[in-house]
Amino acid sequence: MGLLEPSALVFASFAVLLWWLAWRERRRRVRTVPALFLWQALPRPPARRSSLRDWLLILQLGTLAALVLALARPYSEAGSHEAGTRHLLVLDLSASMQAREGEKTRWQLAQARAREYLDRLAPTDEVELVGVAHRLQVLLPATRDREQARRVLEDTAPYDSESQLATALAEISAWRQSGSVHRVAVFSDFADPDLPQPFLEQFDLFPVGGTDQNLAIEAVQVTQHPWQAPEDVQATVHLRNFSRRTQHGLLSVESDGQVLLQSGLTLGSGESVRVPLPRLKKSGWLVAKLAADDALAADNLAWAWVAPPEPLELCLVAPRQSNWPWLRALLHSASVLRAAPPDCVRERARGRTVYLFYRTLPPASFAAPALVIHPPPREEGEGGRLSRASIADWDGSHPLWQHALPDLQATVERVSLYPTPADASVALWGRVQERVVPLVWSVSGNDTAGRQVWVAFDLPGKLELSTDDEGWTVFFFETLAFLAPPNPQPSLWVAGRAAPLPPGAGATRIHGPRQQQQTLGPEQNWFVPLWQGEYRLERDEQVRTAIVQAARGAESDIAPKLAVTHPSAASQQPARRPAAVRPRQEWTTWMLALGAIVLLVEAWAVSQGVRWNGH
Amino acid sequence: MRWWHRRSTAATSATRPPELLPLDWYHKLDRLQIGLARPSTPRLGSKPFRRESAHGLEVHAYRPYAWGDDLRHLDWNAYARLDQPLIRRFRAEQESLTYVFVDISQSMSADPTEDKLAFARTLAAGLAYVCLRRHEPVQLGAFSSALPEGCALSARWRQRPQFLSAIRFLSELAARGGTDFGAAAAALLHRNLPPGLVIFLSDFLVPLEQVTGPLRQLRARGLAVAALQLLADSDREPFQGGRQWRLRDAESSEEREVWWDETSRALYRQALDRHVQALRDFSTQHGVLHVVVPTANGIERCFLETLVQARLLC
Repeated sequence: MGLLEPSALVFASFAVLLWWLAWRERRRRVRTVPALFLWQALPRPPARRSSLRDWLLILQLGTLAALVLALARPYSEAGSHEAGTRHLLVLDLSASMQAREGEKTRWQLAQARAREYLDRLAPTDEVELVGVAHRLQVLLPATRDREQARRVLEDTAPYDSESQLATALAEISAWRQSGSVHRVAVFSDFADPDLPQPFLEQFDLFPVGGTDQNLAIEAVQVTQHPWQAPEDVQATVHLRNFSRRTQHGLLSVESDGQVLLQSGLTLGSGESVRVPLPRLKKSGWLVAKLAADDALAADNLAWAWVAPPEPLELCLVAPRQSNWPWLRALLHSASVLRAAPPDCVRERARGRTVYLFYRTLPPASFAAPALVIHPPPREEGEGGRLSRASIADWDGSHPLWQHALPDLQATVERVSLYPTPADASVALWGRVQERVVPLVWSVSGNDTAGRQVWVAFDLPGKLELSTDDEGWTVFFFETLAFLAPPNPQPSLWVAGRAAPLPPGAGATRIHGPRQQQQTLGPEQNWFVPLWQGEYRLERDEQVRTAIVQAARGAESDIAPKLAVTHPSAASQQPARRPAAVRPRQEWTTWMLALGAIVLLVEAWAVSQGVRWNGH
Repeated sequence: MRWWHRRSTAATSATRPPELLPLDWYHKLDRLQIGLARPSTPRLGSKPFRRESAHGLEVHAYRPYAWGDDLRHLDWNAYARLDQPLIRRFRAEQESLTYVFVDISQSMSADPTEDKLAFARTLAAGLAYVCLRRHEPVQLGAFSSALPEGCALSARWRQRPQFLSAIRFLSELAARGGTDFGAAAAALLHRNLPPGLVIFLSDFLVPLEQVTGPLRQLRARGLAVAALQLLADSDREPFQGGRQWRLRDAESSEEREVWWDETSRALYRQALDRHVQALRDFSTQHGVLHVVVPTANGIERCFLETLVQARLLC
């Protein structure tokens, strides 16, 4: 039992007022007389009346007690106290917990706090350990074995992944409300700025760390078209100082073991800088390293992949050739063939070739990757064309959008009404007044050699407009990538985020950068890497290498956000013997009902008393 | 204000008698005197040497000379004129003492709004003034069970200026203890005080047997007794409203709950009237003057009407 608003008990002092009024009324009814012998003949008052007055006072006090209790919002907790209290220790395992605080890391400080917490628990209490990084992870189910809890605590280490502490605390709050957990202790640096205060107020917080000194590589950005040569690639390293004082560092970038850049940097408080890399000479991994005297080392290393050149030939088939410059401007490295339809078709099968039919139809039974743009309508005249259509809907599961769903502009011009074949898969619909027409569809989508994409409107007209139509430009390149898929690229993943496993039917054996090994079943097609570095994936006797980067961004901002603001964070003491917290049931309504009932009883008693008076 | 003026003012206030009686009352009381027949006694200093003669100025009678008579009492002028020796007999000066006993029990102050004790003090002061105005000796007393021996007696005063002492005695009386008529009677009887008129100022709201015995003893000793029963309105109409009351005896603190309605009111009035009538009957039988003095009528009507009509004053 407990009270949510114990301050309302102040109103219980009104009981003294009630008692004083009753006492005053009684005292007022006392009269001093010279002698009592003259009154002996007078009748005594009915005993019923006297007791009624006492009962009225009791009923008034009962009504007051019920109302005061209703204001105090009493609650009861389910469950029995005999089983002890179940403590949930939430351990932050995100990358920011690796930050150094003097000679120790934040994680080591959190471990020490957690050990102290465990030492203070009663023998009957149960403890459960959960870790929070990219997701909520149960490290140790509820147990009373303290030694096991300490072993799990020692064996646990923070990951290179980002923190989902806010989401995890919301879930834990639901656990607590359901009664499965009685008391929650959170050991974290609380560097997440979006922590929900209402949840935090329910928990015992043990903040660790206070430094904000971190100079981080935010990203290594490589801008490369699918068929662009490494020499034309633009690469940039983004750096940022997350601390409140100036930081110095040495940036070095390597490409395939050769140093591309070495530069000393000085960044002011909160300052960010973009360091462009010199002209690349070859494809491969770009490794950026930052040497700085900061607290967090995980974000001082970053990778980027520069793909090898894969030339793509476009065979353009069009009734007129005046529209080609837009394509040349878009594709710097793609070889563009100008050919009349018969020649172009005749020259097919020369490497990776995509046929682009503009305002003309491909030949019948054409079995090569083709992009048909603005085909002529079947019906001649105005009945086969629409002047303006708005984007109505799209199929999000279409393979065209597998990499990105571009931000397409709302309207397209000059739409051809062309009937879609039976095996067509429509990716985009348009609306003309109340009529919905297909705008983009693919044919023979499963056959890489013969797949075609039909665009029913004048796509070059959209591409020529301006660079604001980036959505259509992305759509154009994604379509080319769909028709002529580039070779598989090495995997570059982020710690804490799901990564696809290589296709296969057997189990996957994973060798991590910290000599950890993991075997996933055949049905598992993804896994979540936890530390940055090189992963080796073995499946069906095929070996594939993946690079995993540490999560950065919010994790690099290691400054605690909870230092002074939260009241429970101010008490740095280990947990006292905590009281059990169980699912609450408020009794406010019942108290109000009880008060009303007592009031009615009192009114009835008064009415009966008046009748007795009259009698 | 100068210092001597201040001292003069302080001296005046120190000697000023407590104002029990309004100043304009004294000339009204000057016209009154005790009218009740009461036993007298020779004045102090005029006690006769023998039973049949006494010293004095007033010749009471003559008788023939006998052997052994004091020749100082021989009327030589009559002997020369009548040639017969005559002895002058004198009458001693008589005086009648008045005892005024005030009941200072708690019952006299049961109702603070109608303080019967204050009324009794004023009444006693007025009676003392009436006596002293005519140089009649008066002695005041207060009786209560809380007093040592149950009674406190003042000195006996005869002179009019001694009224100031009477006022001071009365002013120091405060309600305490219970009613004890026996102690008052014993104070008179055991101290062998001279006979006179004993005036009791009380509400007499005690069981009648506590009153009749002492009064009967006083009458048996030849004292004249007047019982002035002071009754306030609250004694006749205790409550103006309410249903249930808890009564507390002013003297014994005993409590009793009563149910107050018309029936109860009638029963109480009946009991009070019966008690007053019983006291009156007893007084009639034993020669005690019983006067009911309603305090609500005021002290002026009490002196000029009630006590005059009862012939205590004239």
